[in-house]
Amino acid sequence: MTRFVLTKIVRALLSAWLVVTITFVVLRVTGDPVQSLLPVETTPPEIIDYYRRLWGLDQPLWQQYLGYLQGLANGTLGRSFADGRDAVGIIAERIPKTLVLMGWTLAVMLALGLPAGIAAALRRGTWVDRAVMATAVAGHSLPGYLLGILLIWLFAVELRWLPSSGHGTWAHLVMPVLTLALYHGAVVARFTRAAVLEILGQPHVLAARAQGWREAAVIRRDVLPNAAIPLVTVVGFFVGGLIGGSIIVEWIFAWPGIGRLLITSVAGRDLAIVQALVLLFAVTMIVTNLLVDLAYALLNPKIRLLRD
Amino acid sequence: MRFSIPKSASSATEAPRRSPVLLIAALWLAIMAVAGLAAPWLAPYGYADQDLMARLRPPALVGGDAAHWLGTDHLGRDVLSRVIYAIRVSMAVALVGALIGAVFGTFLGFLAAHARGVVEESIMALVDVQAALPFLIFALLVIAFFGNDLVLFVLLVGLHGWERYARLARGLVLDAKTKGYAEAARAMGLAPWRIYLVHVGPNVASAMIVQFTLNLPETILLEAGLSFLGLGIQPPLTSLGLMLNDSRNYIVLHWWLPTVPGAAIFLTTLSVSLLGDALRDRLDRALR
Repeated sequence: MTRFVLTKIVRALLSAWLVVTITFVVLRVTGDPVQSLLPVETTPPEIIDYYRRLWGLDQPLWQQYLGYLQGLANGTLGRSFADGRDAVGIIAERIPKTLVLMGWTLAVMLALGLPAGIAAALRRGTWVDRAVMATAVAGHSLPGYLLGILLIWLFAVELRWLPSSGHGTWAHLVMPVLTLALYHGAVVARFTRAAVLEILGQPHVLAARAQGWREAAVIRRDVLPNAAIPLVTVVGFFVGGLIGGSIIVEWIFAWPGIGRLLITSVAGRDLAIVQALVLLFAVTMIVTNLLVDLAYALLNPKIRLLRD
Repeated sequence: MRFSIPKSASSATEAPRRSPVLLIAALWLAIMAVAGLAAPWLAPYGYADQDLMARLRPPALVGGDAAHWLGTDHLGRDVLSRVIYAIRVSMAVALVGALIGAVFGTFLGFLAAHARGVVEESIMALVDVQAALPFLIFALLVIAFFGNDLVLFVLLVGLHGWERYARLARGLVLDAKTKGYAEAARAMGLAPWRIYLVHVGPNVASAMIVQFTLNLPETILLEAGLSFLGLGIQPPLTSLGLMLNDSRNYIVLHWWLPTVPGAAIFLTTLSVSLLGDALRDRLDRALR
């Protein structure tokens, strides 16, 4: 068990270092950010030199790399090329907005997907099952940018119930959360259905039924706790999906979170911000996957009881 | 939206049957293929031809006229012509991209299984990193640093999903190496590339094809998504995602502008997914 945990932690650290280094290399290989920002032909060379020194671009590459790692350790990731403010500060003030969006999405998608998936599995082959699976397949072909536009048309244009974009009130939260939660809820339902079906076929469920337990008790005691284990393994997949999805949704609904910040920074080639955001997302994913691995090890007796 | 889906993979034991839904899906993809291939002959206008005197005309059936069957956009460009060209561009990018990913990933998977040792460890470490990072983030990083030129964009779309092919191919090749036929081929003194291409290749092909059908819809959505964000295909060229993005400000009064590209994206991805599911069921059954 200790060995398993240590291996996973070392792998996570290695992945983090790889991402950090790849980001640095990509940033430097693509050329001088000063040149992509200032028109070379018309800018006086002393101004270009000034910015090169200001951003430390005149040093040898290994020194830049060390400085970069040092900055990471101190929590400084350079300044926005656009307005000169600290990249970490700009991102920090946007994070709560994205977390609100994701928190509600998580709650709604589980509230929709888990019961739907369980119901579909328990009533396999009936209209409930077919309706859930049809929605899941359709949801897979209906990405956030389409569903979002559909919801805007329905709730903002036709019904006039909700504002089409922006933030500030509860009403602004409804459509972004629905867009993300409907799509991911469909995926949750599909995973849940498969997990429950798998457990329903196990001998221990048959044994519990044979002992005369009521069906509700069998499902509560034997089926659901066991079905939860495979679901834990796909949490990382969902966090990744939510991060990707929130970028698109924040863009459609003008939600001022880090996803929207990423798009505007990419479009404006504000590399300091892009770099900091990519590191943030990558580290989030690596930590999530590590936690998933550890949680799975705790839940799964085959790994938990492993002797070193 | 009403439709039924064919029995899912869980009912693979049932006999295959021709469902009308699959027929419609195949028909739709055929239409898309013809539209994409014959775009210059089918489109009544050029995709960038503006007619500012005929802006935002509705489609023919809802008050427009036969000059523009699907209406015109905010620059007076014919929506039918634009969507035909958009299908051409989007499908070409998605197909070429998906093929690049399949070839690249499979090659690395074979390489990892063949070389073992450090090479295998490095490839698998890259696979882990790629799998951990949401692809959209990765794509945005590359676009931010390298800009978005069309060739680069296709290559970028091509990177999507390579890690799945690599992981799958490596596992299958390692498995195949223990089988008698690969052993026999090696004993006969055949060169490794020959063994992989002629003997192992055909045995892992069906799994790769299944993976391809899983990846293709995602690739279509990726291209459309990046273009929708304004970071993919650039004007004056057109793509389904770009048309959708252009239409966002006109959604209130001109519903056909988002509907046409939106429906094309949705129906195409759905058709590929449904046919892919059916193909997977059939191959699974054949393998059993």
